[in-house]
Amino acid sequence: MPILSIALAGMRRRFLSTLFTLFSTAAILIAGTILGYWSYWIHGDQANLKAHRSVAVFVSPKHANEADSLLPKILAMTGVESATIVEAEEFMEYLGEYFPDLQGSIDEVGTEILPTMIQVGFDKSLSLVARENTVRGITSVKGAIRVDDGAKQVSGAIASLNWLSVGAGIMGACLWLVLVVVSFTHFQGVQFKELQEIKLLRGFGASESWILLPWIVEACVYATFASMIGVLVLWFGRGELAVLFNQFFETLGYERFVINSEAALWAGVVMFLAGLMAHIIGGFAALLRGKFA
Amino acid sequence: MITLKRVSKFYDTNTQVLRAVDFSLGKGDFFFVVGDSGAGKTTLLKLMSGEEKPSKGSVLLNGVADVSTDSRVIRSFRKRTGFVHQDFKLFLDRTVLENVSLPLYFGRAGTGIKRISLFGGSVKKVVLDAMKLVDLPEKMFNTKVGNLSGGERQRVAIARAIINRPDVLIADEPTGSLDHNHTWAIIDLFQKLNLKGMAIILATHDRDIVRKVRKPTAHLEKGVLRFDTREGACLF
Ligand SMILES: Nc1ncnc2c1ncn2[C@@H]1O[C@H](COP(=O)(O)OP(=O)(O)O)[C@@H](O)[C@H]1O
Ligand SMILES: [Mg+2]
Repeated sequence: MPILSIALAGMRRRFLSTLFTLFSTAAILIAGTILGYWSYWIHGDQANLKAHRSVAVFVSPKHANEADSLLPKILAMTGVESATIVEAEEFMEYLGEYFPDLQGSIDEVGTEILPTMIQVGFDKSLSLVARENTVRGITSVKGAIRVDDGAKQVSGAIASLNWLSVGAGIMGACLWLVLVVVSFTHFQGVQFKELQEIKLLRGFGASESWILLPWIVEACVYATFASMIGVLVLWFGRGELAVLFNQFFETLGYERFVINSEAALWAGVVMFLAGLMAHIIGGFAALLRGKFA
Repeated sequence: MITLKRVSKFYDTNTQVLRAVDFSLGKGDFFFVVGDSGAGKTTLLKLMSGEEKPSKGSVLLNGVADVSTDSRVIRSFRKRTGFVHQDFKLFLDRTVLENVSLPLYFGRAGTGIKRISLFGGSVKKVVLDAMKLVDLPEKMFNTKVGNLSGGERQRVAIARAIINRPDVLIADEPTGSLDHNHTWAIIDLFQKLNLKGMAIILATHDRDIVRKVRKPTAHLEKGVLRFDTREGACLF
């Protein structure tokens, strides 16, 4: 295919600039993807927040003995995945781990004072609106005196976290713009270096699109290889990244952050498209802007 | 086909290379342009091909389009124009095939020469035919132009200029690097092409050629173009 050999020959002629563009593309795409993962984990998938996936239901002391009979009613509601009675020992264990003093004082008075509690887990796919309906439904079940919705309590924090994710998104977009500028500079340099060649081709009657075409092939090459590098780097660095992210996410009660093969694949696709678009726009802008030849 | 109307050219404000040149190249014409080196021959030819823009006056293609305005018309005109540059303008890092076949990417209607696709297709035969015309051996097909001698390079440049069977051939000292035999072989070729209807304008230093090939001659002196339609007349 002549077009491919023309494009590759051009890239070989200006090898250093090609390498530089390739690696800066990869670096920017990786940075952007990391921001994207961050943003997605916080905001894109609310299910990652554990508080969103559960509520604690306290049973009135009068109905404490009938707690078992509440379970099927709750389980029948939309989106409820699990409903289990939290045993007193289990709760004490939890206290012992996080609030040892409190555990000590309760131990003294006896665990009978603890209300019976049902831990309700929601389906991951439950939408926020449906979830609210279900929570309301649980509240109206006879015997449930109080529904402790963790999500409500952290809602303020979540709102600000969402802003954090929006910020990360904007930073990602800015990085993409930086990539466009990198590409613009690159293709402007190409134009300058290949001034004679472009002039000559125009002398044969080449149109702007003919000159742009090898650049588009070049853009494809950058996008392909940069996203491949990106996927490899993210894949082999996924452990480190998870450790870094989870210092934040785990403390805040999010699911552990992980990059699985599906997430890596998606990142690859997004990186490829983002890289391709940036280079095509950059090349086009360079051609329009720099009428060197 | 190409008309220059009171064309002046300055490269900078002090040096005027051409002064109010009027010139017209019609279908099937054959002109020589002669003049000392630095007289402005190359500049004149580049103005005709649209590679340079006139500082004053206008260059009309087919009597209508001004080279400084309509890019579409210029493009289609360029597809029908062959240019042999004085400095060849070949790609030294590419093979003879790659150099000679370049204009074929842009094609031209009505010549029977197929435009080559960027996505495949072989042009070997067309290129070999053109190489034969300028007496380049077939085995040089895949040789890098950088490894060729000056005379061979010049012939590669000529092959590239004529491969598309242009309506107009603009040749800037096309025999400057050729030995005696090749010079005359090329001049013969040009005359044959001219007989088939190709308009040719040929800038040269070589008095012999102008004397022996009896064709109208344009003299450039200090930027002024003087015409001599007495064929073969040579004032220098
Ligand atoms: N691109 C350019 N910039 C400035 N001066 C030029 C340029 N090209 C040619 N000249 C000058 O214009 C004059 C005519 O040049 P040229 O057309 O190449 O003459 P010729 O081909 O007859 O030798 C010369 O004095 C040359 O130095
Ligand atoms: Mg010259």
